[in-house]
Amino acid sequence: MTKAFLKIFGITIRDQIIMKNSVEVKGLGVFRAEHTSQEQVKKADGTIVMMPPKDSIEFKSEIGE
Amino acid sequence: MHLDHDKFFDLLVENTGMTPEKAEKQLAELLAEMKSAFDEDDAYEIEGFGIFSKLGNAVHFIPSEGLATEINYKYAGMEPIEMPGSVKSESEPEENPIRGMMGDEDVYEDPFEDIFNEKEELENDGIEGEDAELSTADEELEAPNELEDALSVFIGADDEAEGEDIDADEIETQAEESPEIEDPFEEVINEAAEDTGIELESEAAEEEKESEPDKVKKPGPEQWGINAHKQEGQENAFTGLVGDSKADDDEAELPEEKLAEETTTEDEEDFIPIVTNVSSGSGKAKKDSSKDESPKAKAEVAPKALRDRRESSPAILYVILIILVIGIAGYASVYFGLINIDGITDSNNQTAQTTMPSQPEQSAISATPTGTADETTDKAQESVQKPKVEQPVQEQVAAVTTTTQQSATSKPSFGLKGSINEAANTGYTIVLYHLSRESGADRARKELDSKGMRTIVKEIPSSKYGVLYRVSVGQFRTMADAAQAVEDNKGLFSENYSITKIN
Repeated sequence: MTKAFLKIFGITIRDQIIMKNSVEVKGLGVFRAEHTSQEQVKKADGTIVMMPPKDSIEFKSEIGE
Repeated sequence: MHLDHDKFFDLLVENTGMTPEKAEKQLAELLAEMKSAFDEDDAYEIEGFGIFSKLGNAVHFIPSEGLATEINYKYAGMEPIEMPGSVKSESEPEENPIRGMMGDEDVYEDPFEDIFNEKEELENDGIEGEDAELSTADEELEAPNELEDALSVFIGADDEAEGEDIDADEIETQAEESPEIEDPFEEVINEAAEDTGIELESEAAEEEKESEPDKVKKPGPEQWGINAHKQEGQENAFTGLVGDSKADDDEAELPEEKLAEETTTEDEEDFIPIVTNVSSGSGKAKKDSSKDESPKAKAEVAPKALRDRRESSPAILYVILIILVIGIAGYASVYFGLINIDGITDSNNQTAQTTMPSQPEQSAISATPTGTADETTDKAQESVQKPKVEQPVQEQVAAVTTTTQQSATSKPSFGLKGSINEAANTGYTIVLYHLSRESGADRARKELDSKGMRTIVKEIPSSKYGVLYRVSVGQFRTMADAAQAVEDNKGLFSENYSITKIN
C-alpha cells in the first residue's frame, strides 16, 4: 500500500461527500454527507445564539456490527 | 446519490491510474492494516483524511481539519450570532452572583435588623408612655429598674417581666444570641448588682445621653438591653454594635473634623482671591475693607475688582491710542513743515515751502530756450533773493563742477530741461552714465545740452577706477519728481539710469 493510494483514497471519498453523495467502502463502512441547518441554541447563561448551517461527514462503520 | 463499493472502486481505479487488481490489492491491504490496528485498540490515521478509532465495538471516524473545512466550504467563516432579544435574559443570570453576595451581607446584618425591629415593636406596644414616665423620673430611680431588668436578662428571670413582655422577648433573643457569655458573669452580677450596678447604669445612661442626645429623653428598654451588656463587661457579645457606636462616634467626630478641614481649605482657597486682589492693584482700600468681611464677601470682592479692571482697560487703551495719534500727527506736521521747528522739520520741506510760490514763475522762465531774456530776469530776481540763498550756493559750487552756460542762477528752480540752477543742487538728478574719462563726459554733456537738458557732470572718487565722471540730467525736488520725469520722457532715457541726490 502506497502513500499515493492513501491520498487518492481520501480525495475520492471527499469529492463524493462534497457532491452530497454517500460512499460505501466494503469492509469499512459508509461515508455520508450530513447537513445541519441553522438553528437557535439557548446557552446555559441564557443567551440565545443563532448557529450557522454546517455540512459535515458522517461515518457508519461495518466493523463490529 | 449513493455510491456502492463497485462504483467507488471504479472511481478509485480511475483516479489512481492503477489496474483494478492492484487497486484491489492496495485497498485490501488498507483494510487489513486498519483491522489489525483496531484489534490492538489503536487508531488508524490516513493523512489528510482523518482518523479511524475503535470505541467499544463501533469504529468512529474523525475527519481531519482540512477535510472538515473542505466539506463545509459553503459555510466556512460563519460564526454563531447572539440574538438581540437574548440580552435581557443574559443580564439576569449575571446579577444573580451579585445577589448572592448581597445575600451574605443581609445575613451579616440580621442581628442589627432584629434589634431595630424590637425597638419599633416596643414603641408600637405603648412602652413609649412608660418611657416618657421614666424620662420624667430621676435617673437614679430609673437605673435600678433598668439594672434589674438587665440582670433578669442574663439570669433568665422571665417571671419578673410581667407587664413587660417585650423586655422578656428581647431578653430571650439576646440570651439566645449570647448564651455562652451569660454564665461566667451571673455570680458576679448578683453580688455586684446592688453596689456597683446602679452607678454603672447611670454612667452608661449619661454616656448615652452624650452620644445620643435625642434618645436620652426616651431611655426605654431598647437602650438598656444594650447597656446592660456594656455594663457587665460583655462588650464582646456586641462588638459589632459597640463598633457601630464607636463608628457613629467617629462619624460624629468626622464631620466636625471635615468641617474644620473644609473651613481651613476654604480659608486657604479664599486667600487666593485676596492675593489676586492685591496683585491687580485696583484698590488697596478694597482689600483693607475686605479684611473685616467674611470670606464669602472677600470672594465676591475679588471678581468685582477684576470686572472693574476689565472695564477700565479699554478706556486706558483709548487714551493711549489718542495720545499716540496726537503725537504722530504733531510730529508729521512738524516734519512736513506745517510747523517749523529747527532740527525736526525737513530742510527740503522748508525750501519747498519757501520756493513753492516762485516755482511756477521759475518753471515758466526755464521753459524758454533762449538764454538772453532769462539772464535779465534772473539777474533782477537775483538781486531780490540774493541774501537768502547766497550761502548754500557758494557751498555747492565748490562740490559740483558744472559747466553750463547759465550756472550763476541762484533760484532753486527744478526741472529736466533748461539751465542749471545751483540752488537746486539739493535735489535729485537722473544719472545716465559713469564715465572714466573726462573727455567722454564732456562729449556726453554737450550732446545732452544740445537737447536742452540740464546736464550735470560730477567727479565721483572710486576706489576701483580712480575717478569716475557721473553724467546726470535734471534737477528735481524729490525722487518722485525725477521718476515722473523719466516716465514722461521715456524716449530720452535708456533702461540703465538711476536717480540719486545731486550732492
